[in-house]
Amino acid sequence: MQSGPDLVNPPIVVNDTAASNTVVIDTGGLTVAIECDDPTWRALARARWRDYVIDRPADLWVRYCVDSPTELDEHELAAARAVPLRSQQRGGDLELMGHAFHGRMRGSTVELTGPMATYPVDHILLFAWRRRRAPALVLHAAALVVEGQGLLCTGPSGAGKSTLAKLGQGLCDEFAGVRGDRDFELVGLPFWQGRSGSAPLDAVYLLVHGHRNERLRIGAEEAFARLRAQVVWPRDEPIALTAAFDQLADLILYVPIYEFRFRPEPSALDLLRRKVAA
Amino acid sequence: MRPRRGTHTAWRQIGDDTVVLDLRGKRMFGLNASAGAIWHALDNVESIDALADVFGDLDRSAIEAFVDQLGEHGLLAEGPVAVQDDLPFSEPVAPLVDLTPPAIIWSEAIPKVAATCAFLPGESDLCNQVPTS
Repeated sequence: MQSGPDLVNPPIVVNDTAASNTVVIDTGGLTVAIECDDPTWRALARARWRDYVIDRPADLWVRYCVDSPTELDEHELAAARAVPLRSQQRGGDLELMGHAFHGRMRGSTVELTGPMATYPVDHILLFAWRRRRAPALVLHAAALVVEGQGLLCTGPSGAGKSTLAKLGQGLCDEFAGVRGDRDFELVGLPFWQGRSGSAPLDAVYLLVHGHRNERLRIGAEEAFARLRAQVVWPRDEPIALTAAFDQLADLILYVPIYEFRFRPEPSALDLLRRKVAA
Repeated sequence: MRPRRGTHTAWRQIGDDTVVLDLRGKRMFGLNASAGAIWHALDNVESIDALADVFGDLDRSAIEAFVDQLGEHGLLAEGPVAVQDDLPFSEPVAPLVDLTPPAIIWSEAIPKVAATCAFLPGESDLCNQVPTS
C-alpha cells in the first residue's frame, strides 16, 4: 500500500508560478497536469484545486481551451455539473462530451474545449480516476481520519456526511476514494470540497441521525444494499464497472461495516475515536 | 436446453446472497441462497434435468421457473450451445442448507451519477445541495 501525505500539513509545492500555464495536482495518487493559456481560467483552477497542487511528474495531461470568456452563474454551474460525462470510442481516441464542453482523450492526454469554468476538468478527473488500472472505488461519502485511521462515512443526502466531516475535519464531505484490495486505503478526492490526504481504511459507517451515539455492525447483504446506492459506478466502462463491483464486494468482505446512529455534536466524534483506539 | 451463464455477467457472493452484475443491461440482480447455488452450477450441467438431479431437494418446477427468469432478464448465453463432453471444471456443488425456492430477490439498474455533487435540489437521491463554489 502506498503511504499518504502528512494529513495535517500536506507537503505541497506550488509550481503554478506566474510564468507557468500549468498546474499539477495530486488526486489520490493520480497526478494530473492541467494546462491552460487563459490566466482567468488558471486563477479559477488555482482556487479550485489549491490543496492538491504538487510537484511531481503527471500521469495524465489535460489541456483546456476556453471557448467563452463569460463565467457561469451558480445556477448554470449546477445544471452543467449535473450532466454526466459521455464517452465514445473514435478510432484510437476517446471522444468526451459533457454540458457545453467536449474533448478527446488519447493515451494519457486529454484535449478539452469548454466554458470559463472548472467543472469540465472535474468530470475528466473523476472519469480518469474510475478508469485507473489499480482498483479504485469512488463513493458518495465523507472521508474522516481519526487517530490516523480512515473512516468512510456514507449515507443518503441529509444523513450527516458534511456534519461529521466538519466535526472531524474530514478530507472530503462528498466524494471519497477507496484503493487497494484487502488492505484498503481511503483517499480524499478533489470534488466538491476536500483536501488532499489518505489513511488506511479502518471501517465503513452508514450514517443515520439518532438520539444518541451508537454503532451497530450490519450484515453483508444489508451492507451491499446500502453501499451500492452510494457508489459512483463507471456505468459505461465494462472493465472498470466489473472492477468496481469486485472492489465493493471485497470491501464488504474485509472491512467492518457499521450503522452509525449519531447526534450532530462532538460526542459523536469522541465515540469514533474510542472505537478506533480500541 | 443447456442453460449457460451469459459471458456479459459477473457475480460475487455477498453473505448468503449472490449478486449478479449484467454488464450489457447495466443492472444488478440479487439471488437468494438456492438461486445462487444454481447460478454457480449452471455452466457445469448439460440440462435442466441434470440441474434437477444436482439439486434434488428443490422442486424441479421451481428450478425451471428460475432458469426461465434468468433467461427473461437476459442473464443467460443466447442461442444454442453445443453439448460438450468435457464440461468445464468447477467446485463441487455444496449441499443446500436453505431450501427456499430459488428466486431473484431484487434487481436494480446501475445508476447514472454526475461528476460532481451539484445536482439541482430534489433531482437526485444522492445529493440535494447546490454548490457554493
